[in-house]
Amino acid sequence: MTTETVLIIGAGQAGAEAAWRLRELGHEGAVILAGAESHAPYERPPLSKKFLSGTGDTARLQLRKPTAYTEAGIDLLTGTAVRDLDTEAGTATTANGARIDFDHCILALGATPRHLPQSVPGGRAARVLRDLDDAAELRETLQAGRRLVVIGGGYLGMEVAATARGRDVAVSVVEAAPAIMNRGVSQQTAAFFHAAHEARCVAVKTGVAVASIRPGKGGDLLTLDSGEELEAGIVIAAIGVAPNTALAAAAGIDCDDGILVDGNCRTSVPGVYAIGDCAAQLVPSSGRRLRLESVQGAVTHARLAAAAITGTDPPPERAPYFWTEQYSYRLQMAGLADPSRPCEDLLRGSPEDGSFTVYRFQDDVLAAVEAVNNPVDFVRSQGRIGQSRETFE
Amino acid sequence: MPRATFILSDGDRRTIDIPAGWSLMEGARQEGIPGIVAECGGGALCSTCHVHVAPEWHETTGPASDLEEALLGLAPGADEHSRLSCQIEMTEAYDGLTVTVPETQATG
Repeated sequence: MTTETVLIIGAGQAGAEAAWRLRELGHEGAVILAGAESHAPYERPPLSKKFLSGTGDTARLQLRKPTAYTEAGIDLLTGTAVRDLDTEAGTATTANGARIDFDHCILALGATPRHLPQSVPGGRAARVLRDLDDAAELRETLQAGRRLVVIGGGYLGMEVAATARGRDVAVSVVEAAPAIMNRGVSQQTAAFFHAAHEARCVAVKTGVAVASIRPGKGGDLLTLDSGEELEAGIVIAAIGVAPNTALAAAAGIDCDDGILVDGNCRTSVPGVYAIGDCAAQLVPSSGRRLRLESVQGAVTHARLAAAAITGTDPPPERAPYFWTEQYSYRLQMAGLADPSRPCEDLLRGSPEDGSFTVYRFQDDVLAAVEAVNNPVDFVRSQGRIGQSRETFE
Repeated sequence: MPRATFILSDGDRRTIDIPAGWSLMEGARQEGIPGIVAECGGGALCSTCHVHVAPEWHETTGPASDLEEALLGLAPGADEHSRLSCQIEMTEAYDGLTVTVPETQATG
């Protein structure tokens, strides 16, 4: 079989999965997995939850122990950022000036947290949470009695808020949109989590934005556009991420809010693939272009690219799924409602008892499912995405 | 430290040490046991760490929970000895545990 070299740039969950998948599919050539971070590939989801709570240990975050890569014939290069890609010559140049030759290249470049815009004076005072080093630093600062302001009420922001409350940190959340977790969930689910946070003394402020941050008495003083002022010992901005496309764009690969890829994760340049958070994939069944920021997206993309490189059958398409954990509540979501069209939501179960499922229909077809502490229901419902509403009556 | 043996889909056997308190899945993943995908990281959210527990170990590990049963319904080839390896917490009592890794996991 092939003895061609595959260079994977980016050693997050997508990159690591691609490396292992290539080996499982029988790829015999070299597999080089180059990541800028100093750590071997690890899981990111616990960074805002178990790890941040103070109980998670770094070794358990690792996807594989470092020597397992060597044993599997994967060249794991940590601390290796790639600064230049020449797709025609098939070479990459690292930040140290080393040259790596490849036959196929998988871009698993990830994403970078957005900072507050320049128009917010002092906005750079807000820290971000993306990688293990960020989480380790934040974990040290989350001491009981301190005050944390979370800017951004998305999944990450609300997870950090919940974890911080678990450590007796006083927490406020500032979300510019009218509701928390605004991007993806039903009104019922958002309201449930909003109430859960308020019941645990989190000040959840929606529909307001941060106007400025300046040094205050015990840390920072935030002024909101409503005029309200908030004191904070710690400020974190969790306002989304931007896909890392610079390396690809400079190499002439088509990008537009992500590296554009087809259903098999191929970019516009033959032999170059993009996977995970950096990739904007054209999903064959729906014709929609999606940039998923999820573990399942990362793993699925990795398998598609590995299948394409080894000439094996691609894995079947599956509805995307996500999850978040806040306090004792686990929300699982599958499918994606089209945000440009209205949803008709069907609630089953009881939010008062902390366990329910929301079925989201668009045009009388099940588009998405959300389940809070209702995992069995969730599992059963996953397979029903795409089914007609009649089957639910 | 308890040891567990994985019988791989190609018939190979891999025996590994797993710290007590870790799940069988975590041990397998660290060592790069092929076929244990563990997409969700061990939260009983998916079924991609499915294994068949050797019949003589079935009593020790016990049956799958209702949630596991539901998830195993998505796993190709699941049978009465199937478990999610993320839901088996290793203790000294499990030293010598033997499981078979299925040929495929459910992931797309």
